[in-house]
Amino acid sequence: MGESFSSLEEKVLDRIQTDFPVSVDPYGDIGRAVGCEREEAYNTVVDLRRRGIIRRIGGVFAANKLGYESCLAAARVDPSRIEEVASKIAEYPEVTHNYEREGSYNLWFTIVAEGMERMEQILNSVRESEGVRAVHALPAVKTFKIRVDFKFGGDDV
Amino acid sequence: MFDEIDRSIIRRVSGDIPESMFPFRDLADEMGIPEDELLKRLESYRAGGALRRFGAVLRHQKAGFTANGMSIWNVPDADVERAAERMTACGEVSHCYERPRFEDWSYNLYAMIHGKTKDECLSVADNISRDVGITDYKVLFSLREFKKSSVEYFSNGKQI
Repeated sequence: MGESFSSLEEKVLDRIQTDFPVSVDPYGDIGRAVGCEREEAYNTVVDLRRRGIIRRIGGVFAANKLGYESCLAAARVDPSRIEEVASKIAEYPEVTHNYEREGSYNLWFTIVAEGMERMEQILNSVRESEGVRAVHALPAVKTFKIRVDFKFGGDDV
Repeated sequence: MFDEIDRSIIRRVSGDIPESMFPFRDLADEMGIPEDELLKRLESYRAGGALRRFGAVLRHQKAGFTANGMSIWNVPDADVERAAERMTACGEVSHCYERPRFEDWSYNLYAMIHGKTKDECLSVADNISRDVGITDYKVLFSLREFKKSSVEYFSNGKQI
């Protein structure tokens, strides 16, 4: 750990998490918002990418609006088989996240699939895997909040 | 609803935009369409609700938010809205969903808590618990991260 950010970096991070400008001059726009020149805004972002702070810059889409089904799933897996099962699950491009967690349901994963049939196919394939005792599909019945920007600076940008 | 060009754009920007100073100009070149058409299409996805956000996705671990606890709560159905409201009011809570119960799984409300340390996350959950009066809850931290990737929509990849 031990990452620290300059005041400018914090402002840029707050700005671009919320909304990277979709325009002909996005870095000029960012510069105007945070109070620096286009070059400096651009170099700041390049540096943050290089340091691995920024995973990517792009679109975050609502899966269901694109005709996709998404759900969280929890599996009860024999601890001795968990790595094997995890690497099998990870092969599916539709599986976006895959974590081991504490508890009897110890393997958690998210699926974003083109249609319920494909979703069920993946879930059933996991159910049938050696060492998997049970799988619960946990789709969101209701969504109360989806927000993934982490406030760095205090100022509103 | 989405034509072939839309699908290509959506596939492309569900990844990472070019690192150049004028990324949309370069993207438009890549796709073989005029820049203003690209910008207009992107705005239309936003207006239609398909594009929730266009922005930077961070590696939270790298940014210092190393502790991520999935808090799971057994909340009486009648209290779900009220409990969720309290959870989402927390800056540390990024996602909050109601999910189904099962015979051996009584938790129906899930709130993702982020913090600099595990103790921070636990303390956030503790405060929520006291405020909403729900004691049947757990905070599940991840032990191992096997995969973390962004979803690629309309990908041309083979199905396995």
